[in-house]
Amino acid sequence: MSDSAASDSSVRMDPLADPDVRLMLQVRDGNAAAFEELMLRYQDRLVTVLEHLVGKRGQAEDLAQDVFLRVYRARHTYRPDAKFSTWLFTIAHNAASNSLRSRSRRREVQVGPADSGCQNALTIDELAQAASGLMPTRQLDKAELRDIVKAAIDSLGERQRMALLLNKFEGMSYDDIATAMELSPKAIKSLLSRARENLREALEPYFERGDLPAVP
Amino acid sequence: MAKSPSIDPDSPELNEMLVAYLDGELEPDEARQVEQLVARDPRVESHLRRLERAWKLLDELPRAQVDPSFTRSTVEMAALAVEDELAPRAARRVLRPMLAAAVLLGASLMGFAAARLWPDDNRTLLRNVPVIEYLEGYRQTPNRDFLRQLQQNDLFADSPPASFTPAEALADRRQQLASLSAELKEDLQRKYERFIHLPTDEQKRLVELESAIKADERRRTLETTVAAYDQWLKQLSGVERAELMALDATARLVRIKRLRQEEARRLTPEDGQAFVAWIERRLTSWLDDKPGLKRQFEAAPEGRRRELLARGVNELRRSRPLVFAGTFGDRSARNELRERLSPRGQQQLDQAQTPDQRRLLLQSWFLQTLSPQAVGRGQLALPKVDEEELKRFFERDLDPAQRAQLLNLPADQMRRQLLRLYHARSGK
Repeated sequence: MSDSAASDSSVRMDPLADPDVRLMLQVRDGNAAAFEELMLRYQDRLVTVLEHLVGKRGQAEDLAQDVFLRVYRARHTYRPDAKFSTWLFTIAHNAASNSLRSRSRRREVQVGPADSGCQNALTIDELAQAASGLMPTRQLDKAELRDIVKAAIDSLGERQRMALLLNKFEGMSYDDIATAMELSPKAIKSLLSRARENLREALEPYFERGDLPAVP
Repeated sequence: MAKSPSIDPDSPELNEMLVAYLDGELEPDEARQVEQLVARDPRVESHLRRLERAWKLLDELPRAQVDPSFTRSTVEMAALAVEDELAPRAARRVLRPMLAAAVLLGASLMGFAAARLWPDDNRTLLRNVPVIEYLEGYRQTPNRDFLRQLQQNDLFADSPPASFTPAEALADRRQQLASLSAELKEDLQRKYERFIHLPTDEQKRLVELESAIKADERRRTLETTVAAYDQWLKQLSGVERAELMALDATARLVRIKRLRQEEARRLTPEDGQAFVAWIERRLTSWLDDKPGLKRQFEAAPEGRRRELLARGVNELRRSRPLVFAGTFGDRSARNELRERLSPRGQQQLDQAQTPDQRRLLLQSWFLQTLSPQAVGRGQLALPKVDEEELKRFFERDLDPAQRAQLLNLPADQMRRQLLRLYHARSGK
């Protein structure tokens, strides 16, 4: 188990009040059904965060599987020091960081959602162009708006993206995000502030008119 | 944290403060400071609004829903990880590539491979079929006395018979297993995997428990009880099973009794609707001589009416206990209710023979249908709301703080809370 799960910031609550911690204690004691239950509770949430983090659904599922197996392998040494979700996302953060680092080493980094399955996915350059008012506009549809938001997320640095996703999708407090990302709450506050400001800059052109740069 | 009232609207410090404000991460005095700034400086107000709008656009991002095969293959990989932990180091080197290959074959193929791997001479499986078949029941039975108590309390007397009863002799068992359907074979294989991955002490305990049952003079009764107990346990959620397992024998028995009593009183959705209709009918007839109140009640929208009903019943019980008893407790009221119920509901009502038992039953039904929790769950009492209507309500009628609060909840809780807000609002 990661030491970060025992950080001061997350020990304020009684971890045993968290039903998922109690389930994990059952996993520790050899109850396979409890592990399955934990998976069912977290698999969609975990894959959602990882998919937006790494950009590919298949890779996100592989990573999620790896995270669950790490949880299972760590069951004997599990200590209920923090909320279960904080511990799980600490492991997820480490697994995703390693994966992104090795991908970077293989020079496979792509700008924008590489495997979103959408032909019209926008890059952040196109977003910037649209923001400058150089392109004609037309009305957005739902799928296009989703692509714009994805491109905006992809334009953030890895750490900003992780903090933002944990904040948005998991509703995690700054303290819990700090634990999961092994940073101080102050650093998280600053990271999230920069992330939200970058996001605002990227998305602002679409606030007023709901317009999208026209495809020539 | 910047504290100066003359803060620069473009400063990173202010941005941090605004973002933390939107996230509810500021202390009350800091939050007040932001609110004052926002009220005083339109540029700050505009910046806050734009940050919030960008944040809201993230709602457009899709949420993943994984395929059931993901769960299954991960659980199987975890089972292989256990095998890996248990296998001797040398064997592991040989086994690992085979295990990895087996995993890659995928879930359905895995079932097939497992069925083929059943060795005819697998004596562990054959010897322990009764324990393996009712594994959950055995695991949740601390000792033979516990099983006797389950039986003496008639906790599983009305359970349906088990799907198959393991034969006595090993040769018969082998034949019996060979003739099982592919589905039952796969199910048994899964339980066998679980059994062999239990700690050795636990395996030994279960086998000894089975021997003790076999040696008991009331063997058949105990075997039937463990089979019924096993079936019942499988209907519980993983959390309920895990929590039961954490209790000692005495506390576990108490919990099982309570759960079984709750089940006996549980209403089907149809009977729930019938019960609410009966309450409404009885209560409104009492309101006949109070036309003002009656009009107010009848004019209320559906969701609000349920709340008024619950309040009316509680008020009547508190202020007019005799009228309350006559309205809901006399024989004609009971007959009227009985006529509305399904045969199962009628049986539940008939089984409550004493006034106390009837009171407890009706109280339980009331809680299931009209308590704030039940109304909040929307399971039985709240009428359905069109998805688009609910979406419109969320987007137009809630303020940003309410929306943010809802979005922070897990999906099922969010939906319950949203429905509750919808009905509360439409009832005003």
